Amino acid sequence: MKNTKCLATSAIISAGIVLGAASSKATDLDGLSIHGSLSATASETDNNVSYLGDTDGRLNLNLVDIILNSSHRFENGLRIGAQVYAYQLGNFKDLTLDFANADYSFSPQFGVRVGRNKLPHGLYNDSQDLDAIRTFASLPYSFYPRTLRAIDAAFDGLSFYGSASLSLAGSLDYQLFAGAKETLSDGTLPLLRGISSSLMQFNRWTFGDGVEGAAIFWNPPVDGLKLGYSVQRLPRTKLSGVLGTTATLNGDNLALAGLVDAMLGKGAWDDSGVFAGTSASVSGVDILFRTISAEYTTGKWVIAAEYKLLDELHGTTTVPALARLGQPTSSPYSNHLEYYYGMASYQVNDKVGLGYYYAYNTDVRNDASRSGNPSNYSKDHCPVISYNLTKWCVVKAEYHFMQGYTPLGLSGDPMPSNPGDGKWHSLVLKTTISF
Amino acid sequence: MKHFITVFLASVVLAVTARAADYQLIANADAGSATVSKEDVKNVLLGNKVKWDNGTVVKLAVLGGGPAHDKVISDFTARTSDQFDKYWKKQVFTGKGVMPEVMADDAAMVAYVAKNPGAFGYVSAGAKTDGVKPLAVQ
Repeated sequence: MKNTKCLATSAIISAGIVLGAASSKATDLDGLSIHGSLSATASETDNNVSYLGDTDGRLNLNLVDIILNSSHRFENGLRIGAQVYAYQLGNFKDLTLDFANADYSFSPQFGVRVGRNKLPHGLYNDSQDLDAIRTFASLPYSFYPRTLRAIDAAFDGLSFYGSASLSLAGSLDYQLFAGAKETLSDGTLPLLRGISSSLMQFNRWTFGDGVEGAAIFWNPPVDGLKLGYSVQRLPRTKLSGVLGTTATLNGDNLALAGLVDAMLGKGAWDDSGVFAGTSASVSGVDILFRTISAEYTTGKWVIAAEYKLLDELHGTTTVPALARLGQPTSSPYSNHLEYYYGMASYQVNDKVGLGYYYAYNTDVRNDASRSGNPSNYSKDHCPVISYNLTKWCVVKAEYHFMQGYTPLGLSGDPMPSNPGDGKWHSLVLKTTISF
Repeated sequence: MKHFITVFLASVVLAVTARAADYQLIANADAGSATVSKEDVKNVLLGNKVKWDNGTVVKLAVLGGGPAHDKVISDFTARTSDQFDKYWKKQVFTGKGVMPEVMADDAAMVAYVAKNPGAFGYVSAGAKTDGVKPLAVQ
């Protein structure tokens, strides 16, 4: 928990509540346009599963977030803007600079943004925090995991963008980008806790060569249809941490610690200084996201589907402590994950919206022998209803019929000790004020 | 029979004219041209075009609602008014644009466009457009 930022976080939230309650319109101060939103989410889960907080068997206010932004366009066309994002997720709080950029559009076909920019990927990555623009309270858990925004919300660098007419073939919207990624160095961050295993407790994630990628969307000559391809590459990433103690180990890892104690004396694993607390890393990993997207908007309907591949390649796992056991200290690392979902939403009238999505994810794309384990996949059936109390305040209720536990692998919540059939449920209630 | 045909044709013409005159596009009096392409109107409404050909920054103003607003958004951006509103929220909250000015009614729209160089907007057909330049779509 970042205690040093609590005061700033509280001040931001207070200001947001005042501004949100006072007016439904953005605030304009001498040409400086100010907008914001405040969301509060309560969730309840079952079957010994907690997700994004202490939600097992109790309705818990597990996510509060506030966004404040400001922008201005000068008479020469240059636009500057900045946005802060403050949130509390379970027991973790943070205040981040979401974007701060300068933007110059030379023409509809070509523009440049410099600074901290939102990271475009797929249909909704850059707008995942914007509850006011969609029917659903949550995007698909596995496809757009809440905690992954720690690395995929923004980057520091350069974007080229534009919209080009293709005459009878419609138009093309593109964004090309490259830049640096901020190091994650807080071991309490839900994402780092989530990707830690019982053996390796990660507390740092560096992105040696930053990030580069593209998001290209074709708008064919069919009103409301858009088709896209997004790619994002993060070369030479490194996860660093330490070996866990017997208090954190389980399964095969606990058996390994037991073997060490049997060989080198009781307490050798925890107390010798050779094992628990010594370094462990996964380095040189090239991370590649590739997504194909389709969205069709017609009348009051929005229908969308996406398919994503995540490859982690060329990595090396290094555990120096293994040398004491006469074992190699390094071994190759790679991983392959597959995701897809389909969703539909319908705005019944000015007040009521309905929606449904089905999402699937597996982290063992080609390993049939492991794919039946609910720890390695997830299925998510999710109906939702939204209601606009006013033009600037919306409430939503959605219910997730879940099977499989892969969302927990990124949330920092513990996997159930007895996976069983992997079924669990999640009720989500959310309210958002935006201006 | 001839009288019937004349009345019928006149009705058709009036209907077409009325359909095309549901709204009137307007720009600041300093706008260079009195015509604008449909593609340019779309790009202005979606924030893709931020400067006019003479280099003046586009100042987009939209109505808060109503039949003229709904028709303009539908005709040029193929969106409903709700989808248009969400589009601009996404632009603003992802660091890609500045929210258009929202005008309460035709009179406020005309006053804003008249006062601001580079301003572009629209009003209901038949609204007074003193001090602004009506635009025709090519």
